[in-house]
Amino acid sequence: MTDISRRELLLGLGVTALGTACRAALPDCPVCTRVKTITLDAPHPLDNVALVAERCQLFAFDEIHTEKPTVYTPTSIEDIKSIFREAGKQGRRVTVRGGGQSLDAQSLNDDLVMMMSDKFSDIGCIERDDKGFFITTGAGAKWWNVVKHVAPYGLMPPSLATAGWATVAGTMSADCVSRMSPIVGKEGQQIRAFHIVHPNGVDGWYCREDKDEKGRVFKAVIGSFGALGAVTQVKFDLMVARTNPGVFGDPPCVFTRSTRHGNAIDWDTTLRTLQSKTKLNGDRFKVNRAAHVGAKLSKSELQKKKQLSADAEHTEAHVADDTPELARTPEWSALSIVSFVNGQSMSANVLEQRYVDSQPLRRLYSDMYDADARFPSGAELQIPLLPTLTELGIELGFPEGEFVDELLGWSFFLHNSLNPAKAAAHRCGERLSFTQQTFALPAGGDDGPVDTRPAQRFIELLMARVHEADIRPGDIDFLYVPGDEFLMSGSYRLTAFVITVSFAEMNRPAFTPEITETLRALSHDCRTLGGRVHLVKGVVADPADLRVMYGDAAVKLRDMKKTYDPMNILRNDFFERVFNA
Amino acid sequence: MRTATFAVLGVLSTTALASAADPVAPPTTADLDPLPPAGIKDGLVYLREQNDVFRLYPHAQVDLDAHAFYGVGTDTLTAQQAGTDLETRFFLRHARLDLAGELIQRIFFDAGAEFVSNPAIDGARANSLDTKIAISDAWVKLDAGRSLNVTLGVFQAPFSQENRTMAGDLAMLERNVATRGFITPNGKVLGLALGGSGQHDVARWDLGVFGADTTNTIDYEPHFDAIGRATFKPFVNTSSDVLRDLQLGLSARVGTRHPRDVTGDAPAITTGQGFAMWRPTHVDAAGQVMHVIPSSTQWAAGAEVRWPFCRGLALRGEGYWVSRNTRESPEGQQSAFTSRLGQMSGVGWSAELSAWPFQMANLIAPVTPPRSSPHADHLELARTTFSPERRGIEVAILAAGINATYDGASRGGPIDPSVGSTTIAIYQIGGAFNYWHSSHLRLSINANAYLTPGSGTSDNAAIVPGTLITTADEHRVVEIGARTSVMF
Repeated sequence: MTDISRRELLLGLGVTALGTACRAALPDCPVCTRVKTITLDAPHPLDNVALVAERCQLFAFDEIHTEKPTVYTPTSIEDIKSIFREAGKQGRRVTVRGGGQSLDAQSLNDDLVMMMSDKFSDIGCIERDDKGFFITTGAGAKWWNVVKHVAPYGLMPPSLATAGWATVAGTMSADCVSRMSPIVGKEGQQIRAFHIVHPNGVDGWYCREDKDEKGRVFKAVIGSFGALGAVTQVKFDLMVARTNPGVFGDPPCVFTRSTRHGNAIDWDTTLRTLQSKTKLNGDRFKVNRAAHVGAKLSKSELQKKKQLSADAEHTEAHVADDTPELARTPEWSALSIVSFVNGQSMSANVLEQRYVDSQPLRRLYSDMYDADARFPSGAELQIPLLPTLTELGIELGFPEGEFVDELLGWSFFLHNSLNPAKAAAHRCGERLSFTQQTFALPAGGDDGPVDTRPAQRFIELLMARVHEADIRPGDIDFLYVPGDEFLMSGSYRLTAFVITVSFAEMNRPAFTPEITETLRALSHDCRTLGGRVHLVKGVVADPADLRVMYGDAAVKLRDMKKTYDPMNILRNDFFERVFNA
Repeated sequence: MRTATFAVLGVLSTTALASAADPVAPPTTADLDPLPPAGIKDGLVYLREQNDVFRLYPHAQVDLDAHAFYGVGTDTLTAQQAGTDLETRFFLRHARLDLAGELIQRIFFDAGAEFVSNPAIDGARANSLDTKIAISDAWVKLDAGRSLNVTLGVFQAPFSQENRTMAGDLAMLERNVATRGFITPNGKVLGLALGGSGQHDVARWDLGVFGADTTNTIDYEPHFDAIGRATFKPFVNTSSDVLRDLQLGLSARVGTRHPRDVTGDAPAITTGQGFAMWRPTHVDAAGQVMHVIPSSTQWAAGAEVRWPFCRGLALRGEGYWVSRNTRESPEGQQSAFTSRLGQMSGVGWSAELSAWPFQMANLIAPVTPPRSSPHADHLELARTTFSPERRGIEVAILAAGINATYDGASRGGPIDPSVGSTTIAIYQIGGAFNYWHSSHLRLSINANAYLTPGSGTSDNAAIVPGTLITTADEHRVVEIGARTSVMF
């Protein structure tokens, strides 16, 4: 509580002025429908809690999963504690909900839902120490607003979900994976500290440097979907995104180099290239970030930097003289492969992207990274209706080349295309359902040779299954993500090729059996290939497969819950379904 | 069952609890070896480049047939008189080599040759005595997605269900008399078609323009045709097992034949074993041999239904109205002189009930349904589900017919007084028994009775062997055929 007040004071004194300047520099979030929320009658409130209770119909972002819980919107830590206290006494179940951007039922519960989005959304001032830039925000701060706040200072969150209305604590509790994760790690790795209120009445800060029990809790809260408490504040790293970081000015742009791979892709070479570039740029990121903050490099870091410089010179020597300056700098912030089904085959674009100083835009032809463009949202609407048209459009509109796009359009491209598409569907009385499921396939050890065989076999099985079921995925994304140490993370100690498959449907009460059975079969394939289904997005999998993937981690989490949530108050539909709680 | 499942899961969970250790990723139990560069899957032989830049699917078919004819005149007419050999005999019916393939998984092709093509059965000529080497397929398809593909070359015209089903997938040995002899003779055309389908074939469409076809399997004559077919599965997304695969379809074609370009005979109507029951030649009152030649507007339209309403049991049928303008020219002057202008028109129809008894009795896993298109599907090499081999016994009964008229002078020119009848009425009643040892070996026996009520009189212009014997009052011919097919 004290921390919030201090930050509010700081905001009131100085940062508010900067925030106003930021708002002038960047546009407001475009019309966002979020998720349909329908207020209903007859809430079932807790006794002895002096807060307004509403009964609402809440949807997940996929607009498939829905519940009608009693909703509380706490305004203070004391409110949260009182809700936990009374829920425990009365045997009720509570789920913490942020921006409602989860693709599955992670933020749904048919009993009590605690909305964190409105009263815990303050954004602090940018700070800097010997480890670099960082910021502290409320749990409910939306990423769109965070970016809008920090980008004019040439800073960006290292890993950033593409959902602008997702909240800081929401994506943290899912340990989200993004296009930047291959370089900077998943979102959990940028978290310096957070403040959490446990259902047992204890609250406090947990930090990245904590050891023993606090360290274990720190790693368990990240990626555990609110199973251990309600996070109220988060302190996380910022990365340098342009020259003169920390000085107010124009927000950076994003340079994209798109390398087209037509049909009959050599996946082994392509994935190996992704892996090697990711490792190289990941190392560079670590070294350069330290350099930005003026930290003293260790002997091994200095040696590594020397080697990287030599690599860079070697790369530069092979760049043609007429290559634009932008393309000559071999350091990337985001590396991914975006792939599409075309006919019986797949095409893919390797996307190398990085922040650059503000400059005239050279937009991607399809305007996919234009926050105001209508074409991408129109395409999203067409995916479930006319997939071939979309596939042809992507074939033509996602070409090879080098592009410069605006920051917000690139950062939240899925938000910018999907939300207007959903809004358009709503205006017509329709419902656009969208889901993604992410699979982590082992890629060999961090320091050992890369192994693309599991990912290749998964691609073969994926194509066979979607053709067999006669379904057309929207897009299929590939990342190379180093292993992490967060308990419920899909890449917990598993360096992996992370493959995300998207599907869209129109006006369905549930995804079709073809989609669910395909995802279920792919989850099993993922298991037999030694991988895990990410719990971040939608999860359709047999419980037996999930037990093999997460059984031990779930037992450890359950042990922690016995300490921090002894009454098992914090539950959500997702965990109850996925782990048969 | 549900309780038992939860009990098992509970035990597993308890086991996991007891052995909870540091979480590790699941062990890899799947086969990680690369897909082989050559092999056989789903009955298709393949050779491939490791990234599938190209794939080749060589395939071949050899059919050894036995034909027998029963009925008045079948044991007395010579082959020259009948236009086909009516003796009981063994012979090579098909010897076919094809090379199909894919390029960059987007471009598909198939090119093949039939070394013993029979112009009377594979085409629509009255004479089946000489076999020829003919193109069986020669097409390229660009696949732009489920809803759009472009096919160019020589391929089966997108018209009629029976015509679009690969002959090897039919229960009978040959296409029925209505399809082969009247609705879409020969069936192969040269041109370009656009096609596509919706999810689960809820709708499928093909539309093309074609510049040539042939009735003798080798000589393609130039013309212009627009041909289209659309099929619908209105209940494919319902839970009804009975109705789910019900397919309805419409086909239409329209075109013209110019006397300068088209001098070949109009299609003859032949039995499945090659006897021509209606011939596009006759001797007029002046003793000249007159040839009936397609001329001016040709069109046809109709509907089809296919209803696999029970495991292993399917009903299919179709009916088309056909209208062909014709001209008659004396032999030797087909390109220079037209004696009269006429028209052939009428209905061709067929209905077939087929069954796989062992599959119906759940003794054998259900067979893969016949492909509705002659185009090779993309082969997925990764094994996902068990694909049952085509195996077991298939039986079928068929009825087909042609109820048409041919008036050689209806559009102009003097009436030929030698013409006895303008009515053509032909009916086929048949049965088939097939034993599929696999998709590579098939043993078949067919029996077909062709009925031509009133033939040899002014009531019916169709003929059977008995009609060619002036004293006979015979209106039927029975054909028994057997085949051993080896294919890959």
